[in-house]
Amino acid sequence: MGMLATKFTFSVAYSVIETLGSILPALIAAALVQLFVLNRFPKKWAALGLTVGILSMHFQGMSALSLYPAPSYSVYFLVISVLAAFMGSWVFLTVLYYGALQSTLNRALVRVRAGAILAILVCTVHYSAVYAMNILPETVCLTDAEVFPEHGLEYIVTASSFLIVLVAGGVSVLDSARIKHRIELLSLAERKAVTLANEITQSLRESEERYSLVVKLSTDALWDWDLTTGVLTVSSSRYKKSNQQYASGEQAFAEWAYFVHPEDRASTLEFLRKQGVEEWLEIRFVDTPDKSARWVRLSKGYVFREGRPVRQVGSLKDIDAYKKAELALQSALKAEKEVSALRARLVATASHEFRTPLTLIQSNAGLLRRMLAKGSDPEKSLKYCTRIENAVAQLVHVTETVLMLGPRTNSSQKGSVASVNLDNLTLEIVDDICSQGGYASRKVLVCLDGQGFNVAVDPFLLRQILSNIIENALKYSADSSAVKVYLIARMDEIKWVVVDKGIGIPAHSLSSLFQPFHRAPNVRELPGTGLGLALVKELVYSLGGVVSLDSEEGSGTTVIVRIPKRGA
Amino acid sequence: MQSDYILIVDDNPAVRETVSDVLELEGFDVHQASDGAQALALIRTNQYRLVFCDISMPEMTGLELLEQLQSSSTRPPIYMLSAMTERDTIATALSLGAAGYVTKPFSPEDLLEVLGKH
Repeated sequence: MGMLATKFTFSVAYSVIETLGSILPALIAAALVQLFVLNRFPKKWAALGLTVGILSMHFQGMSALSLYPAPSYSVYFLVISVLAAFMGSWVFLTVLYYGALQSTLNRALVRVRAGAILAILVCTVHYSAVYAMNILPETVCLTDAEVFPEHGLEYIVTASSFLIVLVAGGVSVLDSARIKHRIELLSLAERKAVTLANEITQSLRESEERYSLVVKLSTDALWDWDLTTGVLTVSSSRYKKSNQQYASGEQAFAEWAYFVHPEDRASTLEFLRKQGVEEWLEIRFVDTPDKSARWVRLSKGYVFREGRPVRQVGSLKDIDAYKKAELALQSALKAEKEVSALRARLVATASHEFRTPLTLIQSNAGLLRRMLAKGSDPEKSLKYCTRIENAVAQLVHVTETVLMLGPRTNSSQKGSVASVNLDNLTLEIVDDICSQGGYASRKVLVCLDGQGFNVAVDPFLLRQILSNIIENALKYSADSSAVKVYLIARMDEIKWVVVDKGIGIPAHSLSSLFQPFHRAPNVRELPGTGLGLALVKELVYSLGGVVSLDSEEGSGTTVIVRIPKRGA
Repeated sequence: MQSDYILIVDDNPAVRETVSDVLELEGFDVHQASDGAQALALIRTNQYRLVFCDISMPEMTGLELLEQLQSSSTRPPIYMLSAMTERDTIATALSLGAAGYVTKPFSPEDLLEVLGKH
């Protein structure tokens, strides 16, 4: 139509073959556009194909004129024509592609828009190319005018154009249903994709909110360690390091190690670095102003990709109250076990200790009987009777002491507390001991500093304690050696110190000296049960005090008893 | 010729004296030792018809004494006299070569019955 609109100085006619041949590149270009719309051909190649198709159609059409002499071309306009062909093709394809995704109403507009662009494109190419042509005045058309006379061609082309418009309109109407369905599918897919994306975004937001809330409400810290990049994120409300990021786990540990108890640092680092055996670890944190250690539990887990750990996620939980209760329970259980073992040993040893005086009683009674059968010997009879009496006394002593060492009820533990003048009581105890037959000639030096006060104490228990210690001092020292007893009353405690220069105690026996029935090897020849100091320890403990002993074999022994002072 | 000497080993002097009195009343000569070490020295220098030996003693216990004498071909029969009544202790003593085990408390007749066997 464009060519027909152009008026030449000479009459024109078109070669039929070449004219029909110019339709071929146009069909190829249209096929490429269709393939592009169906997503089966890349845009840049479709644009190039359309460019080449339009240019071929134009120049082949021009060639169908068979102008003589052949026209020369202005390179400038030729380039403009080619550029216009390519850029127009690009814009046309772009509009066509996005138009396919639009709704029905928009789709019609897009078709109009694309059609307009294609029209402008073809016209621009045609007229810039025609304008580029330099036609001389003597130029003539060599094509046989009989084939396609000027007016005959006009009718054919006009008719063809109307036919094209009709066919295009028909195809468009017929195709609209298919395209509509396709667009609906695309819209549905798009809507589904958008809904899914929204759901995912919402879910992520909720997860993030939940995570933040958990961190905020708990006293814990959480960490997320990317093992491929080394980046570590720590979230903590307790340690006020919300979403703190570290370049590496080691860097984070270097900062946090300051709070980890020095004894737990190596195990903590190993726990964080190594995957496998231990999935939790209990350590101590020293993060309070008073530097007291708090127990925390580290737990960790791994995220795997293709069997390889890529993230380590963990938490730090404050278990101080639970752990301290557990340790206290363990300690109490251990103490209870020790007490039970001690009591079991006490019973076993007590039974052993009962058998020796019983042996003496039974054997000496047997001796008495045998001797009486053979004829009386008053001297020997007396000796056997004395042994029996001593053995009975020993049995009584062992029995009473074991009963005192055994579990006592609360009422007996409290005993009878009375207001006691310590100076007088100490002196009475020493006097009582020295008035006994065995120690009448012994010298006991007493230094009293009770300051004349009366204190609330159980005098019976105190008498048992001091008698045992002072009698031991006398028993295990030479008759010529003096025993010293000091009483020192302080603001908050009362202290007795008993010093002797006796045989002392071997160093290896000191640790087990307060255990029931333990007797040092250097006193085996002297009578005794090994219960005295065990009883002293138990009684001093029941008064809330402590007893300590310092001794050197051959040099003597010093025993110190301390009990808290309570006013009377 | 069989010796009439009997050795009593115990760290409690009252027990030693009492056992000595029982045996001497029956006409035996008695030696005394207060622990295993003393007893070992006496056994190596004297010939005894019988030894009565306590277990729990300082320096050397009765069981340690048995161990020391295990390889001796001339050791006398050793009877343990002990307040320890646990089966394990008795079994150990017998496996170490003790001729018998008398638990405390015992009567003079118990000792004389043992003497009647040797």
